Amino acid sequence: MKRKSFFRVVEPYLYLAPAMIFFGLFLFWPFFKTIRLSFAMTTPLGEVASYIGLGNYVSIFTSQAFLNSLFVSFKYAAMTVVFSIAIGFVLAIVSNEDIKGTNFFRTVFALPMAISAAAASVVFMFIFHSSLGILNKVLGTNIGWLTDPKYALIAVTIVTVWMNIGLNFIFLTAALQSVPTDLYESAALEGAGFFAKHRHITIPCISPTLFFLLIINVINALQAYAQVKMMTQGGPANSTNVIVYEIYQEAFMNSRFGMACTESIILFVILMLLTLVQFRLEKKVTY
Amino acid sequence: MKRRKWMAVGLAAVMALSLAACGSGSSGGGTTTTAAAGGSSGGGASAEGKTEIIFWHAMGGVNGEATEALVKAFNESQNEIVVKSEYQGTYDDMITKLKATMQSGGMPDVCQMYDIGTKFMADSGYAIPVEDMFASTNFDSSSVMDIITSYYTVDGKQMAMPFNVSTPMLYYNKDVFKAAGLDPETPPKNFDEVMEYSKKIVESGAAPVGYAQAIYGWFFEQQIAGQGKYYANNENGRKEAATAVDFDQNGAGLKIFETWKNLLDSGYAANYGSTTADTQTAFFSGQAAIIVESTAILKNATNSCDFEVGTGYFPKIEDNAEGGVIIGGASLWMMDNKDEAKKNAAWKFVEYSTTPEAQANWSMSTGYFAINPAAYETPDMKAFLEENPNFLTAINQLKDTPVNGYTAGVLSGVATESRTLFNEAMEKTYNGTYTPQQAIDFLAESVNSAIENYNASTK
Repeated sequence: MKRKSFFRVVEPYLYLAPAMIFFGLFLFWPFFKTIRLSFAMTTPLGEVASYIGLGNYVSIFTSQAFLNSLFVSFKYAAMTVVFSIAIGFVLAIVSNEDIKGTNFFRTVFALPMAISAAAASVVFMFIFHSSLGILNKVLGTNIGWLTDPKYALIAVTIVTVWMNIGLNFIFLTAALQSVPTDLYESAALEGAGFFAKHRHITIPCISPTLFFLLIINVINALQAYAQVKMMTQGGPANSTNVIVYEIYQEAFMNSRFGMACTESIILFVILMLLTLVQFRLEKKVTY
Repeated sequence: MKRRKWMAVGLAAVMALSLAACGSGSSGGGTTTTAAAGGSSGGGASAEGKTEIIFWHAMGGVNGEATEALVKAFNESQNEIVVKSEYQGTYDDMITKLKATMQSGGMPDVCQMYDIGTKFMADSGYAIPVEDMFASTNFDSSSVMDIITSYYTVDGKQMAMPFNVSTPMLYYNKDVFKAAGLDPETPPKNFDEVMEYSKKIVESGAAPVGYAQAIYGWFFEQQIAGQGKYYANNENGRKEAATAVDFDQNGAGLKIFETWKNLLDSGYAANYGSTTADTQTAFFSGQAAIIVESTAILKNATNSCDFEVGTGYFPKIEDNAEGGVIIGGASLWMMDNKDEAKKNAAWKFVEYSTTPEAQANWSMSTGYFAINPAAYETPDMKAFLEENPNFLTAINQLKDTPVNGYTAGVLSGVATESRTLFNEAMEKTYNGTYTPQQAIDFLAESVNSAIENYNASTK
């Protein structure tokens, strides 16, 4: 009896062990190492040269480059999130109407999701090319989409929005289908029009999904990397140097692993705060 | 109830057994295969005494095929050494992987490394200076051009063997030159002429853009050397480690920024950004009539353009007898794996890569030029140059470059970062955020702080 209860105590941990070993090796250990390195000055090989306390933290908050990358990241996140949710929402509503070929359109709208960021970036680089690209030909303009600091972030945002629409569309379509139809029917009896129906019924009913997407999209946007690496390498004039790319540059181009770790920690703190906000606010959302 | 329990135990036993069987099966299989592989190569080793060495490179596409051909030719040329070549992706990928192996073991025996990785490699302490090996095979170091080895010489010692060597040069569209009433055989030699020619080209409507060059720190470094000035102090970091840049003090940097900004503002030039391929595309498609690019794209340019391509020397900001071009590209480094046999084998491979035949084949199939002038005397190469006179421009330009501290180029541990910072400074100058003077101040200040950090971390 006693032995059995000992086994009972150990048993759950045994089941957890494989997962914990993997988490430990690939998540916690690197994480603690990152924290440790964030307090160090590193050699170009990534070894600790000397511990400098909060030195890295002081220098990133006084460095123009890092503050700029934070600013760029938030600007980028704001633009991509607003447009990709809004467009996804409109498409979901349109394809939720009872018209012919709905399934075809749904597939088309969701399709960008299946394309990798790298592949999408390459295609859009052709589209955006300042002298040979189709976009300038169609618009009749001569804009350096990827070479002019005024437009480069917009160009990167367009690609990201295009890629993100798919996921948002699918989530919102699923949410729309769970809205009870009798609500719409009684609204129709009351004489509510198309917009009134969606404003007063659809949006409140799908607000948990909207909220979830908002958080997911913000976090994704703050972690964006591939598009920037492929299309602009952070330029021109640092106008697209988002935070993850800045971290990559510090670590692998400039060989300052300590600084890169410090920046990663800051990014981690920002993402954690966002997640906490999500948990807090989620309770206030209508279900 | 009891039966069920027994069944569970039985099942568990079966599962455990099968798991164990799987384990032993796969590990047994593993052992057999390794034993077999070991047997064959071990047998080979005992029968023929072959030493196997690993060679890492970053040459993809056409250049990758040429690299494989070189390795194959070496392996067939003798029967003591087998070189295994491994493609590692881009130069940046390769240096990252090499850093990892320096700490965890498993370094290749020979590693290709780009020009700007020189300081890092020399400082790492994991490389065997090639000069230490010269005596072992009575290698004649004068068979490689001085101007090329000077770049890879640190503290008076040649650290690596140049492999794929390139310099910047001028490419122009001969058809456009004719249409604009310019002599298609005389490319512009300096930026006054570049401006003048571009104006004629655009105003005559021969091409929409006269001149273009990518925003690329390499061109900036080249133009400093072209003026016969140092990029960084302590003689470009070659007398002792550089502690600050020099281009802000000697006026070379400002002159470059002013010249380029003027040219762009004139409306006869265009900026296609920092991706060099975009400027190339503009040239290949006939949009831009004159560009500067690496000699390494010559083969590609000749294949891609449906007009006649002309080449000329890299245009200068001002004529100067001291100045010239700096070599770029990559070199072969011998990594210290503490194995005498492998070390000697690695050197034999490196030495082979400098032979006239190897260099001639390499040069003809890539567009990089031969580091061994004797390669140009081989019959194949002579015939090739007869047909492709553009390949001569590169080698003549290098012959006309004086060997000195300016053209040896800067030796810097923060070269990659300096180039990124240069991009920012140049972009902000082009769009008017910075005046050329402000750009130089910004660039000097940022690069200086990077150098300071590097020196502190490697002390």
